[in-house]
Amino acid sequence: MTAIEEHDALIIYCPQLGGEIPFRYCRTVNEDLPCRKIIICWEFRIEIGNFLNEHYSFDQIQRALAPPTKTRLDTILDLIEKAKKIKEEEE
Amino acid sequence: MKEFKVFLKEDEIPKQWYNIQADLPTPLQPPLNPGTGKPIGPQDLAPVFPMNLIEQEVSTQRWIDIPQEVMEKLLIWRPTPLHRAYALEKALGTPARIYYKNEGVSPPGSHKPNTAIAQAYYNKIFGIKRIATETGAGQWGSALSFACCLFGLECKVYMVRISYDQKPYRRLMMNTWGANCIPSPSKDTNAGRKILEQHPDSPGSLGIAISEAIEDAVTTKDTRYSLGSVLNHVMMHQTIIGLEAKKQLEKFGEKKVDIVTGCVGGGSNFSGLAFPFVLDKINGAKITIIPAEPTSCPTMTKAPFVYDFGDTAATTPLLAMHSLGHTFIPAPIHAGGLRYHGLAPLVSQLIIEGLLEPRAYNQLECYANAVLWARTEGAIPAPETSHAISVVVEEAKKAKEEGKEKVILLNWSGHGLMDLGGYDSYFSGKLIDYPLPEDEMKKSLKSIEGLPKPAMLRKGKPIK
Repeated sequence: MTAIEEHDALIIYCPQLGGEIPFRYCRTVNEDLPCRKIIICWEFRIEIGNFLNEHYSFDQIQRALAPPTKTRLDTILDLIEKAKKIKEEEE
Repeated sequence: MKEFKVFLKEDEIPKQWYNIQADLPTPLQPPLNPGTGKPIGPQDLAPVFPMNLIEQEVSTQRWIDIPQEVMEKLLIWRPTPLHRAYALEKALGTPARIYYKNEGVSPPGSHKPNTAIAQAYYNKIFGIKRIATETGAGQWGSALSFACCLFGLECKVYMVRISYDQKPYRRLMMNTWGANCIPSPSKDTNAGRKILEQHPDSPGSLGIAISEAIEDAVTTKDTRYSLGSVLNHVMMHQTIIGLEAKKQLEKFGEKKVDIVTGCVGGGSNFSGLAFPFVLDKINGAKITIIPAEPTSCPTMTKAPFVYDFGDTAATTPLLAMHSLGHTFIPAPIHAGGLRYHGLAPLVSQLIIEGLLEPRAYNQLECYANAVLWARTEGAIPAPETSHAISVVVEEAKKAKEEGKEKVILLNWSGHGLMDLGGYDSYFSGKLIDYPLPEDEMKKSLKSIEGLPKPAMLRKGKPIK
């Protein structure tokens, strides 16, 4: 098995952020799991399929690559509710 | 002497925004509150948006006056020029006449301040003193910082930490315009502190930055949140692009336009140029309107409009949307995460209405066309803009084959001077195409065969 840090220093352009980032970011951004787009971005640079299979369980891969479950508006509404609770607790 | 570009006089600038919700053949379905399942009301959004913007979000009034105070700020760089791309036409040997609306001339370098200015103004007159937002590499953050600076509002920008550390230029733009730009996760919010406790070296993410900005807006006095894409009022503020372009095409002597195109991410720059022409199309004009997207994310071009679960575990309510099927988990050898939920509902409905004809392009073709553009027209386009340029090149070649003098209009949404890393990857051969395989998608779509089908309404009537 290769070390999980093996590709960390490789750099790629991230279309989501609009800037360059190292592979380490792509494999940890999703609460320590890989980014949803890690395969599409890295498939032709490294053996990304093998990398994922070596270092993550099937469940972890499924969780990491699953599509988002909320629209932007849904996300905003959820975050408003959370923030309201924080405000209430502080008061 | 031939004209290369047309400027409008300042008093010729459009005085109203166009709200396409007034003319949608089928009204949009109201968004539902995920907690209650009921349609979202103004009070649901009031903690993060001022009521005057919420009113615009749900308005069906066709024309909305651009306030004088907004106009005075827009006039700093607007009206933007409409150029004729003679050099590109010559390079392609096309009889088509190619025009592009240059939105790269704004101080932040893109179309984004068109809505940032309006949002800052409406916040200000609502009594808001401070706006919080998130930004990835800083495009939206810099546009909003610029706008807040012009209206004397404080601006707090949560910038994804990795970009904050590695890409200082847009951060410095924000600082120069007086914004407080900090790396996210930060110690300034509960959301940020929680992440930092567990991961002190977290490089951040857009999700974390959004959480921080919204928490900031809800918990800080006189503060609201601002979003630069997706929402209806954002699209409306951008329509000044297309309204100006119509007047400028007339000054060029064009009586009609055949093809209108722009790239689609969240949809705001495309909508800004295209919606005024969609109105003409609704009223009978023969215009081909083409939103462009990458083949790697073929939401508009491949995904059907269906009812589907929002998650792979099939636990969420069924959502009517363009989807590749909720079990679409790619095999490790194939691309993941291609299903994109962020398409603006207005754009989605116009596709269903048959008013838009989306196309997808591979990234290598896009970069090749971006380089062709830079070597003919001079300016270096943003990587996103190159998708729309690909439509132009394809249509110009088609016009040559057909021997037709078509008029093509493009939204040149921004320059790529802050995005040269992508060009570096292209020139060094690091970029490769990855279109979604047909059989992969067909397999995935089997998962939604048994689910109910949403009403596909065109002109308010079901499509047979």
